[in-house]
Amino acid sequence: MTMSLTRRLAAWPIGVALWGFAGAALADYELNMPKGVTDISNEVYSLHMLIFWITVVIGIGVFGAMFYSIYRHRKSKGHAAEQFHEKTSVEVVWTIIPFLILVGMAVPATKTLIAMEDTTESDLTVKVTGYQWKWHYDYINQDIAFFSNLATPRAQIHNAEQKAENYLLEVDNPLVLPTGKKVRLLITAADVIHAWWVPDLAVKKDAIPGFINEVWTKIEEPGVYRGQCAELCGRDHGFMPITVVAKSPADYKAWVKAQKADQEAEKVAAGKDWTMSDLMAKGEKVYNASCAACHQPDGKGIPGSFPPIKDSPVATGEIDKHMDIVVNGVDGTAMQAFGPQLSKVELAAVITYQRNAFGNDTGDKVQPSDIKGAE
Amino acid sequence: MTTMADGWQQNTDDRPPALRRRIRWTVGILVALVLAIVVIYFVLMSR
Amino acid sequence: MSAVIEEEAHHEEHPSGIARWLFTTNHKDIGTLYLWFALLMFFIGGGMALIIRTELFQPGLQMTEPQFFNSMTTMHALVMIFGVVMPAFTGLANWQVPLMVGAKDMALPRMNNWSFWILPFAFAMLLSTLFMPGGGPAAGWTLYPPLSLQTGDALPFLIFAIHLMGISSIMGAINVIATILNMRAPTMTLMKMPLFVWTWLITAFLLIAVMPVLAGGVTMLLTDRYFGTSFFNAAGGGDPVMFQHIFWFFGHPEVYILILPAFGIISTIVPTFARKPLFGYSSMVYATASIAFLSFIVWAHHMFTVGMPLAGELFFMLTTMLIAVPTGVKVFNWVATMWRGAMTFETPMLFALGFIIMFTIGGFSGLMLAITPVDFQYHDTYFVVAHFHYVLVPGAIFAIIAAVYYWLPKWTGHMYDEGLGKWHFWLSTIFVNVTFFPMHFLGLAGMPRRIPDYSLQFAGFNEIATIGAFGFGLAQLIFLYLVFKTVRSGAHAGDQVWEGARGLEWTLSSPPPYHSFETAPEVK
Repeated sequence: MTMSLTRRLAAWPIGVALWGFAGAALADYELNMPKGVTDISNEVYSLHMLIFWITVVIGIGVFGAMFYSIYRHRKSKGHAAEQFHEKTSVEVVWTIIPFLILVGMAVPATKTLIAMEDTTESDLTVKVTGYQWKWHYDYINQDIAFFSNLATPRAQIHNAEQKAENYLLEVDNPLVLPTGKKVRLLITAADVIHAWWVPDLAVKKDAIPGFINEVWTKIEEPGVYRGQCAELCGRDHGFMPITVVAKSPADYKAWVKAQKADQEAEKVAAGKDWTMSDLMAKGEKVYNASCAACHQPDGKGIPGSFPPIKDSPVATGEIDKHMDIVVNGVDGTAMQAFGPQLSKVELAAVITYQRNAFGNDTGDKVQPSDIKGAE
Repeated sequence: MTTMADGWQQNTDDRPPALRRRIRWTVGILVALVLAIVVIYFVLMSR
Repeated sequence: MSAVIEEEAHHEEHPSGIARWLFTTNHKDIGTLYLWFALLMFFIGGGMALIIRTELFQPGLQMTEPQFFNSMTTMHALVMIFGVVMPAFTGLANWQVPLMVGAKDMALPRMNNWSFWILPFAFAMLLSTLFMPGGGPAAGWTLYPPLSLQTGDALPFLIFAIHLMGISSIMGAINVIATILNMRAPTMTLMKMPLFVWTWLITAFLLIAVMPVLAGGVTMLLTDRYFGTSFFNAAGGGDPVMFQHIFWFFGHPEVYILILPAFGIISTIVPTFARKPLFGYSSMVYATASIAFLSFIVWAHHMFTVGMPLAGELFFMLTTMLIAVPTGVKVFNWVATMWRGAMTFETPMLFALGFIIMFTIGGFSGLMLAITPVDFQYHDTYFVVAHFHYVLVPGAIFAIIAAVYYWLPKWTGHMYDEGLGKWHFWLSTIFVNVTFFPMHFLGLAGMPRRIPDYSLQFAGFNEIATIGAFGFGLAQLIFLYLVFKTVRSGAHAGDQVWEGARGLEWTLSSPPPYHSFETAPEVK
């Protein structure tokens, strides 16, 4: 009876489900928290299971008594109602026993919490800054810093393309950390409150503008660990994931070396003259990663919210003014300052791209060395 | 048309004065409590 | 509306038509107004929930822009908390408290009228913000700055609406306290009051204590945005986290405001249908008072990831765990009330039993959330969403529905259709679990809150939850139909209505006379 009613009610959404079947087919129906890859994450998992089982036992006791009573103490079975309504001793018992159970939970919980809050004697410190809507990582004293943006193409989000395996959990530049070392993370934000969370590390901390929070982690296994922003931070709160790549200390050292080499190459690239086609190719990539979310992939913007690039007086007018807006942003609007976020090469490329794509065709070429006001 | 005043009249016209007084005291204390909370709040936030 | 029987050949006249409802100072009429208002807001807030669940049916953005989605989650919560649960409990208080204590009406009948009529204005203003430039508020009902300060033109209207709702609640609370403390029947001592009256007395004190704090907090948001203050701006010497402390100092007692009257309702219904007195009356009173007291010292458990010192984290973990003790005492007392009674399972009892089981499940997830180091994994995920929906939907809402089924025959003089009532119960129970139980798994698997789109591994349970949500929503139409039908017609209810019902309200006719007790009743 209820089944067919449910079937009838579900007919419409099931029809829709069949249309988007691919999504559900990849679903994992995961039931539990991950054990994770650190000592702390394993302790947290154990605590979670302990409390869970205690509540299951209590539930079986209470609901068992209820169901028994519902079955046996019903008027239709002829049971006559007794009239007792008070017994102080029983009240005392069922106050004391739960209290003791709570003490039993509090002891291991306190121990784990104290361990989690001890950020002393770390091997490496990284400053993590939350932005609307991306993360920035700065390896303190190592001169390595970069932004980490969502890498999932907008086309997948808007259902124009098939969604890939790490949909919404992939970034362009992951946080790379060595295994076996105590890493201290200094967490802050540039605009509103965000939160940095990686379940496999059991680390979650709010990123608060103007304040710095400290957490630590020591990853035992190399691998890729994905998380998300965990504090509502505006429009794209769901679109600023975290990816941590944990490498063995040797591989980590190699990565650091490669980063330095890239920085050198970047300096060289910024010094030389680029061809139009090279600038356009790079500029298109930067545009799609950094500009298209607001100004749209077709450059038409969203009327009332985000101005178009196509036929824009800025993108077809004075180069200096265009550059100033891209590098310094526009105060009091959603247009961020991209000077600190993009390299000179990227800035030059994206400005060139904007001035020539979408039919703008100004023929202007902006070189990395032309960029004013960026570092 | 019966107004609120008339409705209130019917509700309360047979209240003994002692009851009226007690209600006024209760309300007075509660309003003072609300104001005290507001004042404490402002004092704390001004530090 | 319902025809009211005039028992006495009195001079008393009461108006009819629109004027009756605009100018009424009668506690029953005002109770009716609150309840209809809450029912309307229930469907509005429910509609917003269905928009949210439709977007979350599949991964990808299908229906809403992310900003609009965020305004839906924000408004859904504001409507349900301030427009449904609180007004519904206030409506029940208005109807029942004078009847239960043997008073003719509330202590301050005119203020009672104003308390209600503020609400439609406040909510019209709140809902109108959805159509303003920048859209409705979209920072979550918790309104954390700096994000909430990025709200568009809606911000001052939102704040003004919150002020109005707060004033309505404070005035209602003062009225309840003045009535209970001063207007009981002469032989009704405090420890002879029905438990519903006790829980509302305590709730009223909570309201008076914390609504001004919310008002202060949102006023500081207003001045930060428009009058150059920096309460919550680090660059100006302030601290965004201070807002969270202020908000949750209000917010935690608020959730007890949302549940204590429900406890009173369950404590009324279970004894009636078990035909047995409530077990442990005085323990129930002390437990309720303990919960209310403890509710003031746990607030930061909503903020465990904010970066508090260790001592603070430990303190709030321990006090939060402690609340489980008096809450458990209440559950055990309800079961002891059932034990060896002679139960029948009419609709009010079904909803009450459903409450006890599913509220307890919500309590278990609450206990898990109290454990700070593990809360770091649960915080701001769907595990929290599951927890609070269990305590609020099969918790508070089921208690309100139970109360309506229980007292509707008294209010209207008509019995509701018991068969339809049972359909409503079973469909609601099945679909509420289909909707919210999977959310525990989603949270544990890593799905954050307040996101319009999610990664693929979360698709399965999201799909199930959406189906459940639509089922639950449709089931409420049965209730809507039933309420309308019972108001207009139905078998005559009689005065006693329920065999095991005890209390002064059952000594009056169904429906009660316009002025309930012309002479003070005797309480045994």
